[in-house]
Amino acid sequence: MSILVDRKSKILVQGITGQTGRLFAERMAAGGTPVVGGVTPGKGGTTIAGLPVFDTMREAVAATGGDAVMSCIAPAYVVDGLYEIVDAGIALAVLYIENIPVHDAIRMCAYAKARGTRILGPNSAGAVSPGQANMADLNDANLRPGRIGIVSKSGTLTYEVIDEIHQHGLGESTVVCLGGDRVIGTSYVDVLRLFEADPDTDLVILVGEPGGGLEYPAAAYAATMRTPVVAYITGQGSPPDARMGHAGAVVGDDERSRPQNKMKAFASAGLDVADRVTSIGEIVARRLKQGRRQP
Amino acid sequence: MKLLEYEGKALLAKHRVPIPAGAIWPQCPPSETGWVVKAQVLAGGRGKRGGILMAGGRGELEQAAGRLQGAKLGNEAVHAVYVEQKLAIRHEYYLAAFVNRDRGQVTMMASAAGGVDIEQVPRSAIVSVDVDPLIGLAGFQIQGLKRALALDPALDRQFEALARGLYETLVDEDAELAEINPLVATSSGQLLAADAKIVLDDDAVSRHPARSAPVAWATDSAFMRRCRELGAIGVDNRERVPAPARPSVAILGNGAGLTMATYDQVSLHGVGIAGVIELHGALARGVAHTAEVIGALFMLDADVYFINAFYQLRSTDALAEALVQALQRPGAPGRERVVVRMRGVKQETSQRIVESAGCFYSPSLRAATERVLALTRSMTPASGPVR
Repeated sequence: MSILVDRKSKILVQGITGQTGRLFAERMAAGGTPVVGGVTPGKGGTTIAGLPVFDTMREAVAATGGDAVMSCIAPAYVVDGLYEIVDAGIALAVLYIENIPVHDAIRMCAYAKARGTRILGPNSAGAVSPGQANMADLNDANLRPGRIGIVSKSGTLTYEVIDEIHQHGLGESTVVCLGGDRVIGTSYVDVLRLFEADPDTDLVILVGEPGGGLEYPAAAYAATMRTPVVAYITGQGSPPDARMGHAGAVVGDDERSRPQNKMKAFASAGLDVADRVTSIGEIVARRLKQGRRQP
Repeated sequence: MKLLEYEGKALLAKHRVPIPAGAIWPQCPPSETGWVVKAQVLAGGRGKRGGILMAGGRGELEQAAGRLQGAKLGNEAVHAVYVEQKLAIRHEYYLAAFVNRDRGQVTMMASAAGGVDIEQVPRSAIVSVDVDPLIGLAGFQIQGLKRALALDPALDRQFEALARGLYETLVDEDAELAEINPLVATSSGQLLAADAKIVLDDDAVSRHPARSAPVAWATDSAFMRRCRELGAIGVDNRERVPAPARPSVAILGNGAGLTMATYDQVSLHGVGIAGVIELHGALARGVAHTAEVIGALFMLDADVYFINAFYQLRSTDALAEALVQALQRPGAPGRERVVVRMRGVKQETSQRIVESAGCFYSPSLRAATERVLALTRSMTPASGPVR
């Protein structure tokens, strides 16, 4: 099993005739991901990578049963596009786009939540269950099916974490990227709950970063989990006022949003904390030998 | 980006939040009660540092403005001097609206204990309400804020309009924070925003084309300006206090997460970081453009340069070729001081390009970090910090 996406998913690509959308669709189809079609207004009736293109999301859902959407549309259309995804009753939407104004993100997340659509992002690299469904910007060749769950805000750092656990002979059940923006649709706790209920995930790696405080409820919840959680919080050295690329990863004056304080929260909840990315693999391998937790 | 007080007040006034009469020196508003002369700086706590002066008559006003004009408060040059009519204050309140990241909503906060740092006010003396963006600020929530302030009922209507104006400023102007501290009730029965702290959303700049570039950008270093021109994200540590020690490392990474993690790999060993560039998609703009970004990295005048790029679907050849181009320019560092870790499609080609250019290459973050640390250890600490 796995969480969020699997071989039974029916994935649609929003903006499938654009450059990014087409690349995602082609790669998903070639890699065996269950992609069923795409949407571009005015291009309905055509095909891309052998997949049907529809004018509207509702038409696409009616024809294909699509239940997850990878949104690859231009920034100016993202908000409206998300409203259309929600309106069509889609369960999961990945917003790959970044640099979305924060008040737009607030509105999108509120509307999606009210109507029962889960958003990953904005600025999310997506979700992937290796060997089943790849709804992310990760290369299938760099993934390995396994029993480690990963939840992270970042894309590129997640590549590094995956590479790190592969060096210890481990693989992934599902990798979930929440997105690096200030306001995002899905929290660490949301994903931890899913991993806790997944019989095929033996351990979860949680990757946090400076800014905000979503890691604190995650530490509190992880303390109650039977599935062990190993935390790594990046940005320990970076200056608190600097924006390193993620709009959300700025500490500012808020002590809670400092990486060191987040690390303390996980440690005092009795969880393992890696101080740098290259020590994660070793800690995970050691923790796995101890089996499930008895909270 | 932070705004100066007078820039923030102009936005508030646009949304019908009352502000005291004021002008940028040498202009000044008419007043029979004297003036408040305020240094316009981005840093907080300016009152404690002598940035706010009182003036009774015209002579005192000229003297006070002259004292602040062109002066420095802490490390920051005073950008302008703002002169306001002096108010007869009966009470100081606190009122703010901000993007509450953890709740994913706008939160409004009010306290009867205004005029002091809000962090110093006990939580029990602060009331906050979360605003559902699908509904907006509701009437009952405004009532809740009002009760917290124990306002004179004569000010009810003014407060309701002001609270709506503040919320509207935050949302319509795409701000992350709009704080009025103090919100002043005058003895003549008026509510006014006596100060304003507004932080705008960097990601919404294009939505407000009429706005001029914020003052905050003018204080950036040449390196930071160059990064902004190139569409990359730059962090310059050389202006910080204390400045990073030598030997120092400059880092270039792709993606915020990997760049921060690379920073940690080096800085946790106590090595100084001169600055950082996050490519932010620069590679998609071609080899020549990426070479410019690497050229900007060399502006940091570091002792070791650490390039760490991890791509999934993209070949890193373009990055390797951009590095070769940048190294051929005048002012480029010696190749033995450049450490490269690249992962991506066909990374063997990149390895060949990087190695024949004379730089160290490894596909492993661990090995590349070791190389960076070994290089810094082999260098004698230079006399001063990085400048």
